[in-house]
Amino acid sequence: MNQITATFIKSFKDNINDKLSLFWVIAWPLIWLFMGVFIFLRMVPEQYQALARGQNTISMIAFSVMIAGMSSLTANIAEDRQRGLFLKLKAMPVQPWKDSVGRILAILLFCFISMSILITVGLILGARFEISLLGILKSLGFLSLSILASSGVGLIIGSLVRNLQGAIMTGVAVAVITSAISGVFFDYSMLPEALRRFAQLWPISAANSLIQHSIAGFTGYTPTNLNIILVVVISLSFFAIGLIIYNRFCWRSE
Amino acid sequence: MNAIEVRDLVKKYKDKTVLNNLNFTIREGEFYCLMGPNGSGKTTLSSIIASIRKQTSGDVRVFGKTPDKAKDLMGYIPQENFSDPHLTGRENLRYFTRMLGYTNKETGTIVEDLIKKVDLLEDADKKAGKYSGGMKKKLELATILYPGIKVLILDEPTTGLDPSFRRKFFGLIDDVKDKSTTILLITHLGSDAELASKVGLIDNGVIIAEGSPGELKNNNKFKNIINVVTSIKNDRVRDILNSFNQGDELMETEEGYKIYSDDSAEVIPKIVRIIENGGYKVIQIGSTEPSLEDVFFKLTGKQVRGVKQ
Repeated sequence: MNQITATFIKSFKDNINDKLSLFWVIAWPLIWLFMGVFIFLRMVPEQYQALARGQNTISMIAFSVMIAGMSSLTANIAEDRQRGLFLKLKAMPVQPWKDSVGRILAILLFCFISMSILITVGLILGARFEISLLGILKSLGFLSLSILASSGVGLIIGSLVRNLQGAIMTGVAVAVITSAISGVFFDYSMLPEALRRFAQLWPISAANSLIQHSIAGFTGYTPTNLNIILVVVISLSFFAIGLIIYNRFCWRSE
Repeated sequence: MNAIEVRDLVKKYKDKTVLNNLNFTIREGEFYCLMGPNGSGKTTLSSIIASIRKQTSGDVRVFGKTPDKAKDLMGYIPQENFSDPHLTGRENLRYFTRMLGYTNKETGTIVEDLIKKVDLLEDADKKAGKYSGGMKKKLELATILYPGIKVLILDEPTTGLDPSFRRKFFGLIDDVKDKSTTILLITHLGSDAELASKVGLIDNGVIIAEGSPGELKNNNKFKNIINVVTSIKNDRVRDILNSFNQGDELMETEEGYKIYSDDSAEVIPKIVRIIENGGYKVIQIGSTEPSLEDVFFKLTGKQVRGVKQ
């Protein structure tokens, strides 16, 4: 437990002390939240404005979670490796899985803080949600899967890309590009057919749609049970692969 | 009692043999230094002892245990500055202390003790990223001074630090360690190796000589090294100087040349005269006792710090 707590505290402080991380995880989605309300959603009829703003808020939470996993966690691992921390830890009686859990918990807390800020600002900007207990539980479940999937991708990039700046840029690029082509920034209905399929398979955009369907009442498509199963399986697969690669490349003795 | 025993150790990376059937023993309480140039295998050896890498074959024991079973007995400082720049010195130490399994309550007491030991009290709440190179080394030294640690493995701990701080760093280690603490120092600096009680010179994955610094230097049959800096460096100057050299090969440094001699007082005026008769100038000349780096050069024909011959 001490090792999990120690890694959790260290990683969380690293995240909140990293200005780049704060910008991408909190400031950038906030900017898009404002842009959504004041630019992109202006043509939405008045009666749908509140739900559209709610949808926009959920999308920005999805983006924030994605960038936290894919960029902040990535930067955290890449920086620790670049400065030789793993060499030091490998020589200590440290259990790698406890280090992984501590890092993931730190990202969870970071995401929770970002989510709280985005929901608060979203509500102030007029976002409304269709709240039900089941809807909230489903949303939290899908959000957790999103965080696991993003963390999995973050673990993979952080473990494979050795250069710190390279790792951060790769994480940001994957997050921004996949957001753009999977309907996180834009409406699902605006996507071409091939990208719609990708949007239903990419765990973050798919979870985004499922959350919107659960508490914002509308999404570009009606999710089926198959959609839900795919989100669960693909998210957990990314996470498991991430853990395996992290253990192999950052922890295993050569 | 033996603190570290290395028997028939071999480490290969694909076809390249980095450690070649290496054998040595470090006794408990000994300050042992492995000195060699970059690529000699010294860091690979220390990382196998520290349980970071695995050997291809052979046996390593730390107080009779395999390295992975003896992690709680060893404190390892890698070459890199591994402290977290985003955290304060105190937060860094709290992190490492809790990673060693100490409870929150124990951690508070231990961290304050470590901060005092390495003399970082005034700067403990500054971010490590704002620390000077010397302060970072003190902080990292603190991460291996926990109760129960019997072997300190220091991989080039003073690289990049100025000579005066290097002395202070080893003075600090001497102050804070127990008498029974064993130290394994990895370095390419002869001045650091002089501080050890026993030195192993390593080249191409083999220990080529071992003994106290005094023994290694006494085995070198020449009494003096003459350092000469001339106005230019060319083959002619080299040939002139080589005629005075009693060693196997004239050693070329960044600034000039080193000549092995038995009687520097007699030879120095002759060198100055002949060089100046040849139309060149002697900028600087003086004699010193042979260093461990000179001993290494005599044995291998290579310079430890990688300056071309």
